[in-house]
Amino acid sequence: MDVSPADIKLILSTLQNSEFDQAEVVIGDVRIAVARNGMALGAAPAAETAKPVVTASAADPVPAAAAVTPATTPPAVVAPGAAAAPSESAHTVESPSVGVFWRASSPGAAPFVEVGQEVAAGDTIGIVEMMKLMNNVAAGVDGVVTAIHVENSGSVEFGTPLVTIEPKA
Amino acid sequence: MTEKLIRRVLVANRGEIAVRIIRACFDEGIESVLACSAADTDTLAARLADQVVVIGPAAATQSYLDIPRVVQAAISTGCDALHPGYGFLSERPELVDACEENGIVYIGPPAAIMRRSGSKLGARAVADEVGIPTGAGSGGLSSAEEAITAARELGFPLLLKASAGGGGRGMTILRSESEVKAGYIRSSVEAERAFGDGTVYLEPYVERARHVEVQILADSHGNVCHLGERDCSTQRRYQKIIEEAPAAGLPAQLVEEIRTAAVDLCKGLDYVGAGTVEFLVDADKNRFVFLEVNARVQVEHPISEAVTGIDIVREQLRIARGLPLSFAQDDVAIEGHSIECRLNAEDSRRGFTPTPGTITEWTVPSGEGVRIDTFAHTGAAISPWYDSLIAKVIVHAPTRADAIARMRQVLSKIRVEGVSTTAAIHHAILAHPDFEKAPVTTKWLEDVFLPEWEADADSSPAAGTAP
Repeated sequence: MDVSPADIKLILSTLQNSEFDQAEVVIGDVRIAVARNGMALGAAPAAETAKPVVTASAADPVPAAAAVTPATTPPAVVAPGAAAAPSESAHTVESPSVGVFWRASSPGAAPFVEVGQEVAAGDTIGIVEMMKLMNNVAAGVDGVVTAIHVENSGSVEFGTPLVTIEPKA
Repeated sequence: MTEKLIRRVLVANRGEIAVRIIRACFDEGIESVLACSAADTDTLAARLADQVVVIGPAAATQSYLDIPRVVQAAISTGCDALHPGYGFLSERPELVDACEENGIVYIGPPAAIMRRSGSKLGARAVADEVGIPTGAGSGGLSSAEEAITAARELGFPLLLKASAGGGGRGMTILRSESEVKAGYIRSSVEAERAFGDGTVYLEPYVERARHVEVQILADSHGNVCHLGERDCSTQRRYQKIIEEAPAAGLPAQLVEEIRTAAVDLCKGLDYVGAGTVEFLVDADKNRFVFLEVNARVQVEHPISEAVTGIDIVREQLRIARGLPLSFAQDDVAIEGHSIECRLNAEDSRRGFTPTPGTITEWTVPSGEGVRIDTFAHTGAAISPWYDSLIAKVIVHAPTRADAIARMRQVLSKIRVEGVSTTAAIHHAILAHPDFEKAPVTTKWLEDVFLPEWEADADSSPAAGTAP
């Protein structure tokens, strides 16, 4: 299932207007995690092999998971209204080769990026491993991560979309 | 050796050979996964394979030539075997090693055998051991006097070559003793200037050479069989253009010696898999020397299939599974004559420049004794990223003359639009009296045919000197 930037915007604004301080939404292979008011982001999936399927939506706010992810800036949710319509300018980071996608530098480590996180062009958004060669994949643009398309340890091909970043205006 | 289960094969190649391997897998009831570049996702091979995995960008160094990517693709898609085709990674022992480390059956010789047969010296040493002529020359020469002594021992004609070099620089042909001194000085000065090393050596020079190669299939049970020989003398810049099986016009005894030499050499190498042993045959003296072993399936394998009825790629799959060959040497009978023309997307009137593009019409004849191995079709893209081979046109007929006639007929009916092809020049080669009359030598195309062909093209009204 495809999640458009407009969908993400809708989800974020719905959450913005809700009472939750933290939420994780998973639709297909897109995971959106947000937090505010000092809450931590949802558990990092780095060590998991299979993602729990579908919606862990607003219904049960995930307990502020074990310190794994220090939500650096509780961010993202920032002014969904102010963000420019993303679809045109959105930057998709693609896999540079066939391989296995890792969202964190090692099992148990925090993911390089989460949805809503601000990144600089040179930041690593994940690793594509092929035959034990670890290839860091850079964001390529300054901006905010709006979607993560491949779960941790998922198989990728050359050109597989990994994450989408909404560039800074 | 116990039988290995092969259920899914990664096809690590592209173009017509990928199509060929997918076909053989299908025939053997094995699934195929095509590992291709981003430029090849809509090719015929990609459409025919059971699954496609994109391993990298169009540039071959980051896709078809990248061992980690290829092996990773096999692992990611659950393949238990890998077929390298020809070219690309097909003779890289490192790929064989990587497959082995990851529990993937490599469809080809084991790494150690590939290393030995791939190194010219290694294969030559074995050839020497089993008594196959290798055309060994002198060692490095450091004076004109030394050159004269060595030349007397070897006999004329001889070729003086630079030890350090390549590309023809520093090479001199010597036909008699009186030419040795001047030749030595010229070659060593030239070699010194070109490569910073004036060392030269002598080797026997074959004035009129034919390229003759023997197709081998060897299983892991010690059976080594040949499927007869092929003549690949019609070459341009060391690239084979037309191949024939069997090699016509060689004395029966010489043919037998060549075939036996190939089998002996492969036995000496403990060879396993499909392979080709190449020889240079002196057309005047009816002597042969060993050149090299190609440890892979070759472009021109279909002509051997045509005359023997043996499917070489299916046998490769059998061998990889640890099964014995499906036939014995006594079952191999060479029937009729087969010719292959390599149809390239090139403009033969403009220096054989590649002409990539989209094929807007693709009409090729078919029928008894005609086989076209290709990935081309109407709408197919001929990518500028890879070599220009678009189809192999293969005919089979009772005699060489029949095969030539059939090939000319087929070539004259091929209609390709959108890219230039070499069909017309193939037709002209096959119509040339030299080619029809007798098998040609390796220099014939460049020394005799092409000058005539070019003069023919230039014989516009202005030039007015048609031959």
